[in-house]
Amino acid sequence: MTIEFVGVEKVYPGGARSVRGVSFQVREGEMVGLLGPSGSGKTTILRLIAGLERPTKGEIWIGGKRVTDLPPQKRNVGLVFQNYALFQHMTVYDNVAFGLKEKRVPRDEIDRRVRELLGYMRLTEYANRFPRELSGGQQQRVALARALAPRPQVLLFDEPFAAIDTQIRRELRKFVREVHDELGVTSLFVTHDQEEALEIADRVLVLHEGRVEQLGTPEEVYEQPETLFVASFIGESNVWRRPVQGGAVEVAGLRLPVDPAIPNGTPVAVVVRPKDVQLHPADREEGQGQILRSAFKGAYSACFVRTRDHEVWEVHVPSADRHLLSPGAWVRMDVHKFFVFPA
Amino acid sequence: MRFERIALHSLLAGAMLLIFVLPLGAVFEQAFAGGWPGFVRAVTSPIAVRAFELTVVLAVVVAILNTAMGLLIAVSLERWRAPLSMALDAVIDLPLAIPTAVSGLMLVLLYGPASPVGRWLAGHGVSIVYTRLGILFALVFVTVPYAVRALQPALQQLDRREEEAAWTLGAHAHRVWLRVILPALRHALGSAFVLTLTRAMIEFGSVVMVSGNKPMQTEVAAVYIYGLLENYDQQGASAAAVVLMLLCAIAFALEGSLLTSLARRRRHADPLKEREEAHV
Ligand SMILES: Nc1ncnc2c1ncn2[C@@H]1O[C@H](COP(=O)(O)OP(=O)(O)OP(=O)(O)O)[C@@H](O)[C@H]1O
Ligand SMILES: [Mg+2]
Repeated sequence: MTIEFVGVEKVYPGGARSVRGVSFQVREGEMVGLLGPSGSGKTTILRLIAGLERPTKGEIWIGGKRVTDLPPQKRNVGLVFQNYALFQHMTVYDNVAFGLKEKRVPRDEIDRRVRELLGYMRLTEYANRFPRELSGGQQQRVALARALAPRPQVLLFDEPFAAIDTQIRRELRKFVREVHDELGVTSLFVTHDQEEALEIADRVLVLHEGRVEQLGTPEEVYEQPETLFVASFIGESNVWRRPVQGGAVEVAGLRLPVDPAIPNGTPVAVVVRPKDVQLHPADREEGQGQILRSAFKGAYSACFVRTRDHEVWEVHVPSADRHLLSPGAWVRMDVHKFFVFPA
Repeated sequence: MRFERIALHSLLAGAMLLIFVLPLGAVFEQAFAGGWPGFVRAVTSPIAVRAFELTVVLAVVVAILNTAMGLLIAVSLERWRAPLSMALDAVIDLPLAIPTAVSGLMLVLLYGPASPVGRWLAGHGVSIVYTRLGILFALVFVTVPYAVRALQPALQQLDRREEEAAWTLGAHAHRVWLRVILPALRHALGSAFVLTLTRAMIEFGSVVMVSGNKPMQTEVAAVYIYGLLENYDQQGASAAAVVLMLLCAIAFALEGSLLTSLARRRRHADPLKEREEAHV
């Protein structure tokens, strides 16, 4: 199922404009991650797709059908809530069977489908437990099984792994991706965890203050950010604001060339990723900065360099070169790649 | 420190003795002053039996009506936010705030033969004051706040997302009520029912005003007990009081066991096993 937003606005009764003129298209069978700071409208967008909110303006299409005024019961959209929202008074079995009973599926078939899903989710032995008797990860799988049971064409996840610890979280997200691929559904998931979004999403929708900043593959939003917000929000970055001087911007004693059409004095923001800087040992005279400290991160070390104008840069250095990084040492910096945005 | 604690405990024990144990003991002692046969004779007289019957039947009807009405009022206060809900919220405690005798008096004044409403109703063959219908009215009025206040917090605590999840799974509003909201409210509905039931069984002030207290017809247990006492039949009054207390105790015990058995039944209903057995 494709999903399309056309100029969708959502103003809550209280007056909060949480989604402002949002348009985007999700392709059939795609898994899209929604990324954005708190309050940027991620949950609202999922609720609009599920039909739990009506847009104030604009249209929503699912699978080529206009669903703007369709109630949630008729959308065939599965939603996994952040707190799972399991039916507390029902057993795991009854939770999963709920949607099938509502669709008046014959009893035997309900039983077959529920057992199949419980087996798939490794929940068979918990069929007769109540939600409060399960761990967070198990509840999460019940919520997923419940949403999958009526065979939805669209699956929505609102921070599905937020309350789960790292190890199980990694397993679960791989599992969710497998489920998605196997069923061939179209999925959207909200996450605060960029690594998670970049790892399992086909494309990432970056939101900021109710607007779409960029929709692109993980590589695109990381390597070719379209806005300053995307560049600074996705991944680590050093952001410097400077006026243009003679077709270049000066940072840390380096002249970084910009579009010559930009007139002198125009303020711009320069974004440099920590991995796009190379450090070379230097003596005090030619060094551009001094190592403050470094933090071991596994394959690389995050190194903080203070320049002569007292700006602090984050630079990622392969851990093999860590011996260069003793605090106080002078270094020279090479910038391989940078982005320039209007500031 | 230890002395203080002992002092506190003996003070509490003394108070309990004075307030609960001694008066209760006095009632039981009086009730069985004529031995078991005397007790049985007192509580099985036709007038007594009729009074207990009327009390229980009316209380059950009131409890059913008010659990339903309490739910409706609580929902309109918590969910619909109707324009008048603020006023309703303030008014709902009124029956608790005014003496129940005054509640009875209000009904008599409103529906009595002297009032236009009463005359109009009488013209259509309906009389409320000095009938069982009047008692029902009084009991409904006096006990409805208990039902509302038992249900309101439970409604507030419902997780709206459970209902939203049910919608996305295809359940329409009435199905969501049936399968998600009401089951989640079952404890609160149980307390609302038992609270109004017991409160209706022991109500005196309002009933004595509207019922006319005709033995065998409109005399409920509490009024019957009062009547015996007025006639210096302390033993009969005490015996009837013991039965009335017993009825209330049974109501509470029933609520408790009903709730635990409900919970246990869910626990043992084993859909996988049941069906496996069926396949064998
Ligand atoms: N029911 C509501 N009534 C009024 N305003 C709301 C409501 N729900 C959300 N908002 C507002 O809409 C904006 C977007 O909220 P939304 O929940 O979509 O953000 P989010 O991106 O999911 O944030 P988070 O990451 O914190 O979950 C916020 O400013 C929020 O205050
Ligand atoms: Mg949210």
